[in-house]
Amino acid sequence: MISKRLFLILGGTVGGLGAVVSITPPQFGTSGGFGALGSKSTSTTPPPVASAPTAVPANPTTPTQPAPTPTTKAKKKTSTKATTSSAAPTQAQAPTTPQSASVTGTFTGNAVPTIYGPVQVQITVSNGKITGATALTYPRSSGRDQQINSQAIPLLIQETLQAQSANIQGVGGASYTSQGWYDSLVSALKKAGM
Amino acid sequence: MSIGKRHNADWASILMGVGLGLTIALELESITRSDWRGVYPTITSISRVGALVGTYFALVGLVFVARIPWIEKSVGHDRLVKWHRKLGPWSLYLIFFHALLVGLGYAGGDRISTAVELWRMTISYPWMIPADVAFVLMMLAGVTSYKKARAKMSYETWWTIHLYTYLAIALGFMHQVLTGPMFIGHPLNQIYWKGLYVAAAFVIVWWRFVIPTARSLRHNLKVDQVVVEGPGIVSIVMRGRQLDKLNAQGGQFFSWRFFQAGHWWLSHPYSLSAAPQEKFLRVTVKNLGDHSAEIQNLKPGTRVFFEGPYGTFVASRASRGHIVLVGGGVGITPLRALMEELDETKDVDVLFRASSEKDIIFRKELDALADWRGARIHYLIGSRKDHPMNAKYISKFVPAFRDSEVYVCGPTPLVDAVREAARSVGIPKDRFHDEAFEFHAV
Repeated sequence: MISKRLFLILGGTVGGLGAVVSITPPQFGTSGGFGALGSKSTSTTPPPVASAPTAVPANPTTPTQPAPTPTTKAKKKTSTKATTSSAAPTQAQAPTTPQSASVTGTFTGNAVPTIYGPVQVQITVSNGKITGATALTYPRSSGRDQQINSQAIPLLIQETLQAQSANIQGVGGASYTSQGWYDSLVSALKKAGM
Repeated sequence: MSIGKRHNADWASILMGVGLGLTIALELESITRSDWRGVYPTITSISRVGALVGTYFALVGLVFVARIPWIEKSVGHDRLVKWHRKLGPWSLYLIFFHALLVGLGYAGGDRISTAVELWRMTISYPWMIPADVAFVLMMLAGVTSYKKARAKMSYETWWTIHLYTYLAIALGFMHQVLTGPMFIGHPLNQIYWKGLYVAAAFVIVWWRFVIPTARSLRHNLKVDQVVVEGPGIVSIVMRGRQLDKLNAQGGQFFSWRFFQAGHWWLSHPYSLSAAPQEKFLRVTVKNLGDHSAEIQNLKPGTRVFFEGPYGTFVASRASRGHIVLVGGGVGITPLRALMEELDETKDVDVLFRASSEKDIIFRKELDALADWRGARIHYLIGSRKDHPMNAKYISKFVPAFRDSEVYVCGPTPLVDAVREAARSVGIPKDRFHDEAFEFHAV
């Protein structure tokens, strides 16, 4: 009797878990799954956060540039999950295309709220090239936030300068800051008309 | 227990399992690579699974004792309390390890001590102070429910501390949805979790508060008479209106709350000691040293708030023609009520074990009932050693024991002995009905 109930309970557990997992597969790593992880050797910056599909048009002036197609299948997650990522490796290695060459100046992105606090990015652009990026604000209210972000912000700056666009991978272990950085960066680039 | 009712319990088991699966899925769905890269993030992630499952168990544990009629009827109140007791400790272990491991996991990342990290978390994350309070309250309830600790305190103290777990579960909620990575930015996960809390709150408020209050007011139950039955044993006769509409049966029990100074905040689970009538209900209570001592000071006219009826220790479950009722001490009371309700075609043997002659209560009533329905009562007076309740001994009085339906009520050792006796002669579980005193106390 008891063992039968236990069996029913366990059966229900497996069923419930299986149903959820089969509808929306878990995203343990990048959206590319473990295969993508294996192909990428740099382990310091695994990409749990990367450009969400909606964020691609960083460059509306050159429509000929092929926009990376979103690969995430789970529809509900594309806009809501900070951790959802699209095919990060290919995007990250996308060639930096010449931007509108005339743009020069300092542009401040929106302050983007995350659960740990707002993130606000400022970029310096010289002749259409991103020459500098800083975080005006980022979460540092707890020891944990400070510890994480003191490592994450320099990496995000580096990624931004390398990508010359919002096509960054994000920093593993700092998903929320990365998402905030990304969103703020997009708005800064928009202001710069890039 | 009919086939249909058994299916209810099976469905409840499956439902509980599905809930557990969905709960684990919360973490699995929201986990990212950074949550398992490295020892410390892994520890943190494991602690989160523990927290989710522990909280789920706590909610299910509350629902077990929420007096939901269809679960009560199909599983039986005593068994639900047993499950509640089995699940409770697991909930506490998991939540305890959650607090410890999440502190350890964060501290490892920050390279500081766990104690400092726990303090930092408390002051820098939202709703952490209420969560800490919740943690302390839950652990207190756990420690006081531990057998050895509980034996040292009064039922009232234990019960009051136990009540605070409701508060604890509520206080813990906000830190879960505001800081849990499985909820932030995961609206579906939030909907599920909030739904779970709302559902639990609803069944508890509805079946433990709204329904009992409405019934108590409708039936207008008041203490009518307090009768001394024996040394430290009193009967309380209560008067109300349309009590037959409660559909109570002899052998069932209610949770009683007497609205008199010093009583109103505490409810007592007592069985009916006579078959219910349209205007009267009777319970019989033994003075167990603490609060039950004051029961005899109840004044006629005191309003009575009740929850119930509960329990499946009823005559309608008897499928055999021959019935054996075994009572120990004051445990005879529900059997006395059963004797009235077992239909007249049943052949009844009553074994009444008591430690001394004066502990035999209801002697006149029992003899009169036996006479009226042609039942045999065997008074077994003396110690447990004089009357070992094994199959051989019971068969001396009841030769047809193996073909009987067995009802037993009394102290746990007696119930266990009779269960073993029944099992040894091949009486299947569904012909054995027990009501041990200790199961009433939730």
